[in-house]
Amino acid sequence: MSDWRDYFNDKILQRGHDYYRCGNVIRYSYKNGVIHAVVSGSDDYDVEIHMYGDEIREMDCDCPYAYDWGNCKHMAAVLYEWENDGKKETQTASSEYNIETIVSQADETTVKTFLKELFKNDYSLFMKFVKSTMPINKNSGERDYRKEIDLIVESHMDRYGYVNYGNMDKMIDELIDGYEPIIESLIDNEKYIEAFDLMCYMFEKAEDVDCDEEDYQVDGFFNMLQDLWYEIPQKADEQSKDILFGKLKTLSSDSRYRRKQEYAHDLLCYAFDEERYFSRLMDYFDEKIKNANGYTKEHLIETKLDIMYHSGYDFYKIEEYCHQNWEVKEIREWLAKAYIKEEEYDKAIAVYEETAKQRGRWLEEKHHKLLADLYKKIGDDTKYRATLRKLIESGGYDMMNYYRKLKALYSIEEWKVICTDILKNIHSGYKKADIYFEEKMYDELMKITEGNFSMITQYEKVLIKHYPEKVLKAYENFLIQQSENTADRDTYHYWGELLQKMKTMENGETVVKAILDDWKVKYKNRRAMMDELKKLKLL
Amino acid sequence: MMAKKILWFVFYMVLCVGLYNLFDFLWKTFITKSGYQFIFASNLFIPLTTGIVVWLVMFVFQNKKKK
Repeated sequence: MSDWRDYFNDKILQRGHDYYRCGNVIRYSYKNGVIHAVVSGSDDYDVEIHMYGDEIREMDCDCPYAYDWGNCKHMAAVLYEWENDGKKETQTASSEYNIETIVSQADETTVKTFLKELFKNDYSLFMKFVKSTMPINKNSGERDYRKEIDLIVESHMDRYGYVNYGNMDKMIDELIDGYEPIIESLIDNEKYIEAFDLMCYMFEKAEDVDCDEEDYQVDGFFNMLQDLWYEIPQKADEQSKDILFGKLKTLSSDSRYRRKQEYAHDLLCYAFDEERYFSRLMDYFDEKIKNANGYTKEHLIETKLDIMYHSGYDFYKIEEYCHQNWEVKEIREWLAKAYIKEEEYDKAIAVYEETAKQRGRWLEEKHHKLLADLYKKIGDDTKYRATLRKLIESGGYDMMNYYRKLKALYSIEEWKVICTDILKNIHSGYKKADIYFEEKMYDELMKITEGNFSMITQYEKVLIKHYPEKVLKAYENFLIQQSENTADRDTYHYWGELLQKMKTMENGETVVKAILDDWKVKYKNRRAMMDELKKLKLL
Repeated sequence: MMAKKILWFVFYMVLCVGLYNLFDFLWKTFITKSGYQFIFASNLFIPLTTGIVVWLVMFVFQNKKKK
């Protein structure tokens, strides 16, 4: 056997040995070449080691150190146990001792005393024992399920009530595997309220747990049950749905459980679209809005408006409600969109224009685009053109698209004047260059790009046809200026590539030769540079 | 005494700049081979600033020790 100690560094080995000596290796077992053990330290950690004869195949421990760095002191402690006591145990366990025989032969008092001692030191083992001794009746009432859920949760807690990352995953798996089918069967048996209460209880328990990655894991747990959560009111009969509505209203104001509160609110918003709930929903929203502020308030108002609109509520009253909250920009946007859906474009334009006035010249591009579309729809050509001009002059992302749209509306002669005017109002050199390129104004394009190497390379294809000397000069100036300082190998390679490109230009060979001759003398100590130029066959 | 201190400080600064540039030269000549070049902004000011900071830290540390 290669010494298992080779897998650990001295420090870890020493600490592992300390753990072994102090008896921290508890619940050690060896079966079919797999060692299972629990090592107690700052917490209890499960260690699993797969052996092939005396060779170690795989080691695993659920402590954070092993997760980040690999072989940990807990593994070392278990291997000390295996080396000193475990091997013997394995040999004897297979021959003389057998769990079944030993346990069946033990008298009741001894077993009870032994268990009492064991449970004193291991609370989670005790909870597992309680769970396994509890009779589980699948048809029992909700109360039994609650007890079972409590036991599952508690069996994954340590003595301080904390659930570590690995246990949290196991706990969630157990809850989902065990109770998802039960909830489904309750729904199938039309026990909607029981199913709902059971889910609420599970949500509460999960939110109550103190663990590391609470948000991530608990959110995952909620998401896994999301479909069932929405299924309950969808399938519920009228009477049950009424009860559910009342329960959800209470839950959505219970701020102790934030996620459950959000889930209850979502369910209220999207699963109770029947007319008989409308006025109650409105009351619910009014109360919530009254107590909310900022973004939450705006969001609540928007949701209320959505519900009002989709339930076929009097549009006039919706408008009135929006005007009551006119200071909220999201509400104005909502109403404008509703007007567009209703094909009341004039009204939508009025809303956007009012918003535009309030925001002055800093109106967002998004609004300009919407206004342009609306002006086009109602055939207001003057305003459509003016808005397109604003979009172009603001130099946004899609500027050239609007430029082409505007250009299409004018004759060639008219456009010359408009174009000059637009160019006067654009201050960005890059945006101006886009227009010069579009209009094939290459003189202006060359002028604006001079001194800016990145712009020259952007329009190189056209500029090289009309101004080959100037482009070559731009390359030369760029390289001379750049080479004044040392750089890394990649940059030297890039310079070489630029030189190769220059060679293909008119008179390029001569210029490149002059540059290289100069560099050979000036930068002979830059060996990386010379190497790269040689690689590109320039030297 | 004061003149001696100033002399030591100047010697220390010269040493800082010299060593920095020596290592920069070795690094750029034999390791990256990008070529050593004396750039005023970095090859003088970096060692000078570092030297002054270290000197100040040592000064405070020694004064504290004396107390």
